[in-house]
Amino acid sequence: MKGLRLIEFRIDRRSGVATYLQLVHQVKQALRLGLLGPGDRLPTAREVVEQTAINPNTVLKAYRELEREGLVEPRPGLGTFVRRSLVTPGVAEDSPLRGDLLEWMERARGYGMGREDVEALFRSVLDQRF
Amino acid sequence: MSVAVLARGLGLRRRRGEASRDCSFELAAGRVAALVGANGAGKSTLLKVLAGLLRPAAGVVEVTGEVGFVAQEKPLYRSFTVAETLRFGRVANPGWDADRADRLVEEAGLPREARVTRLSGGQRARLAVVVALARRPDVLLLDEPLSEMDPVARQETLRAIMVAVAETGMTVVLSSPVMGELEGVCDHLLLLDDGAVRLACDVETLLADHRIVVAPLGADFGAHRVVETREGERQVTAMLRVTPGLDLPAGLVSEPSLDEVVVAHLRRAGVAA
Amino acid sequence: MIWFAWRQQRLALLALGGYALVVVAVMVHHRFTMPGRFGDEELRACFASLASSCGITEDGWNASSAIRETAAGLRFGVLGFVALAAVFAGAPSLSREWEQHTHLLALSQSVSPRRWFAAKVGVVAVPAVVLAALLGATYAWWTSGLGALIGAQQRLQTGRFEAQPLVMASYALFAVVLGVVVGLVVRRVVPAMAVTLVGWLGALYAVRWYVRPHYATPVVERLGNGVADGRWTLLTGFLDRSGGFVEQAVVDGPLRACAQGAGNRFESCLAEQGLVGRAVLAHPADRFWLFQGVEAGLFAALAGVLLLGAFRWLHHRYRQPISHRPPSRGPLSRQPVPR
Repeated sequence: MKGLRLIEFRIDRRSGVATYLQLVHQVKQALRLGLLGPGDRLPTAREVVEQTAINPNTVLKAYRELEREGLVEPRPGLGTFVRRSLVTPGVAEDSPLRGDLLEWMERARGYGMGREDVEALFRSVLDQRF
Repeated sequence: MSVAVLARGLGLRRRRGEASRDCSFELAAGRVAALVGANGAGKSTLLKVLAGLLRPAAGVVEVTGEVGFVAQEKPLYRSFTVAETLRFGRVANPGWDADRADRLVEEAGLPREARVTRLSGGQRARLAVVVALARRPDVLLLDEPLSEMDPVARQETLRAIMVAVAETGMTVVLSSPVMGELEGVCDHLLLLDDGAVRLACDVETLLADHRIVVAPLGADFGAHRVVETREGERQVTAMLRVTPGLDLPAGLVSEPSLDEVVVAHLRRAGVAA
Repeated sequence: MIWFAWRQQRLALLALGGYALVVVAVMVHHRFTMPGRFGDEELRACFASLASSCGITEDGWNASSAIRETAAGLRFGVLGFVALAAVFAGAPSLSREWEQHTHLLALSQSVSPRRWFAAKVGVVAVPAVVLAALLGATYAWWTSGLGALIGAQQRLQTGRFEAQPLVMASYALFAVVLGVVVGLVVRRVVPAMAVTLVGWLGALYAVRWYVRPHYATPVVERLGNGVADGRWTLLTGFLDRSGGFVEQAVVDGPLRACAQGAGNRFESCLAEQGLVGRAVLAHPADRFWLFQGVEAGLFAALAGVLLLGAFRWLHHRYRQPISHRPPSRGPLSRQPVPR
């Protein structure tokens, strides 16, 4: 099946992160951002392999992991389908939280902070709270 | 899960006339195994034994189904054209998949009427892999298949092999001098040293089992197996094979990459030898 | 597989075919252009008695010696084909595979080593045998027209015996198989060629000198004044009174001493030694087909032994590892992932 895929995987071979985990993270990221939603079909192992040249067993392992977390379900003969979304109200494009964060970042820029400064600050608060 | 490749007490070397018998492992069907080891460790010998082209000095080999093999020399009939090489594959193999062969040759951009002598080393290697893939083997053995290829060809060749794995569930063993390009490709590791298999395990298990710990000099690593240590002025960096259930020693702990684990084990084997 | 084996060897095979056809064409040409009188009975008797008085002109003698030289050259060309086939088509057949490592390719395909080997041998051996037989037949036909010079009655002689169709065919079979099998052992093209050439010539020499004379028990023939009738002479010597054969070397000394004595005639010397006349130990000309058959059978059997040995070795050496039943082919079935 050629055509547009709902998700394009990118594998970073040097990251040190296990390949199947990279796939899991990327699917979750897409679920959080709403790029993938319930009922969407994930690409088949063959399609992913064609695109990334990784081991198909790795793709299957990633999908099993997602299945274990209840995010996707295999439908025999049809493929692997998304069961539930990870979109939280705060992540959507038009959510007030996003607006607040945008505003906060503008202010940080106003203080002359660079990307790394913002990241460090964000991370330290993130670690404090979560 | 069925076993595709099994070696028991295999002797790849003779020492003082006596065959060594320390190459034993098994590989489940559908796995993609990297065969690594220093030059002269016996990688090519092991692959030829598995392919039935060399009789081992001792031991038993069992391989399930049709075996495809690409030798390190990427042998092809030099006076043949690409098209004639494919015709050879067809007449020599009842299970020849002509469509797959044509598709792979096209993907690789190999001119069908070109003679093999006229192809570059990388193109020849690709053609050799195409011939091996098109006969639809159950077990595919590749001896340094990527060594002469440029980065694009490497990626495309790995992709073609992985697609075949996805389509047919075949088992692959491929030897390589470098590990980096095989991350994400191989799910199994066979580490060979002086004719003996030192490591034969699942890649993820291997990664999960190893940690790099940076600790003060003289730190006690307890029951964990130390693969390798490097001592600095004040601290020691150790690659540990951790024993499950035990606490890791105090210090800065990080997860190694596959490359790091393999290199540490190869170095250890080299020191021991 | 035949296409494959042919494709590998086609240059050598085409060259061999061209060579054989040229030699055949030269013989055919000679047969039709040589003076007709070489077949005459009268001339035959004339040559046999070696008398200069039977009216042969200078031109006649010149023509006859020219045709003898041509015949010797063509015999060389006919027999040379066997060596060429063995060295340039037989020897490289497998040695080149090993030299270029392509045996690793060929032997790791589905086709069995024995079928591969059979195709490689067959594609060289069959044309070589056919061409060799053609060359031998043409030589036999041509010389049959030469009458007294080197006609059919002399075909048991070394040099003519070997250029006959039946033995040529079996020589070609043996020599080509020898070349292929040497390639399997030596595994380098040029050394394999050299070993093949030496091996073939050595085998032919050994058979000629040590085996062929024993195909049948030679008979003793007293030499008269008649025409030599094409027998194959092994030893010359004398006949004693009881009809036994005495080798020349045995009585050479006494005879010589006796003949040098004053007034003694050679005949009385013979009688003194108990000998009645000159004789030879020889195979009569009518044993030609027997000898052809035995020699052809011998070389064919040698080829068979070589082939059998190579087959067994290949089977033993390149047997696939123990293999279970092949697994069912198909996509990864554990997961419901559609194709």
